[in-house]
Amino acid sequence: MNAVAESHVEQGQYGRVFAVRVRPNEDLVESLRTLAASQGLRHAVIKGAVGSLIDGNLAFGPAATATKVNIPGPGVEILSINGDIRVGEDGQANVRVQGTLGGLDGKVYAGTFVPGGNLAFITMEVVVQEWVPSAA
Amino acid sequence: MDTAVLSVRHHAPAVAPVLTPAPVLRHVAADHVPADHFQHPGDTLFPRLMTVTSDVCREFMVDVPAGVNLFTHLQEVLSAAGAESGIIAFTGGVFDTIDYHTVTYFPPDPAAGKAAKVYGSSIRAAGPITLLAATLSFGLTADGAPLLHCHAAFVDSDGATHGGHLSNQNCIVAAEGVQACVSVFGDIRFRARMDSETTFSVFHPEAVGAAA
Repeated sequence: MNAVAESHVEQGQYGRVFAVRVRPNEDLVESLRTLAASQGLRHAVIKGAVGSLIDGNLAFGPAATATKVNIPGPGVEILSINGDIRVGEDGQANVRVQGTLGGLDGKVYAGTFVPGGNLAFITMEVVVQEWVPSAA
Repeated sequence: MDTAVLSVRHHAPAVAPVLTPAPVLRHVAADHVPADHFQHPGDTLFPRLMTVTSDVCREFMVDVPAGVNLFTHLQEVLSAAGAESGIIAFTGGVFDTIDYHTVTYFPPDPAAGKAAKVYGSSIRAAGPITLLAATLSFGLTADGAPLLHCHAAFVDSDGATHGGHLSNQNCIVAAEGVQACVSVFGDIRFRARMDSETTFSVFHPEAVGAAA
């Protein structure tokens, strides 16, 4: 008999919205970790971002064998991102961000954003919204 | 439809390809050194992360009709809704024309009286153009006029992908229209201000209303 995996279903609503400007040379994933820590976020979703990177560094595939893609800049454009921030029991923020980048060549690249590999070039406008579970 | 399925089966290779983990793909010259810092002309400013929060975020769904310039139309819709600042995620759409820019950085040259710039002349994609994904932030210029900032990924009529900064002047919506999910900040404004660190005018979040 096959075991049936149970979904974790949580009812709730969106709460506070955060409009963020990330200054040059700051990393996208690290900035989202900093945001979570400074604002006491437990769970939040990324609503979008517009901006440019010094270089783009994306990955795809399972973590252990992930293929990494380096997109040289400066001026790699963030075209779209989505993802979330979840803070675990240990207080560590797990930030998952994936999306598309536009290279200096105008081509489109896609994958997950490598932590520490996506530094703002001139600016990044990032919008994040808190997820607030209903009281059990 | 059955014919199409049979056709695929007929051409399937006798031996299935073996997929192996690919090495690191580098879309770069062999001597490219990944950059961990870019030295801008101005002094480093703080805080490095500017954050403004609000408890209020209104949502709108907008169907942009055929024939209009995306930016002109959205500006009218946002103005009519009293929507000053926020962010838009696009769920789909088709364009007849998209003009866009990719980045080429030119540092400032004070001796020649030239400011820094990142965009040269625009690139025109061949329509009809299918939108893959796009994000648009909107707010105000320093003078208080509406300002829209959009980056998009899209496929042209030949199947080639493109991505970059859309020109506000010439992005013309095709017959299928364009669909947008608009999030409007309650007590936050994106205001474009000159950033002395980079010498570019960029959006800065500001608290407005009761939160200011």
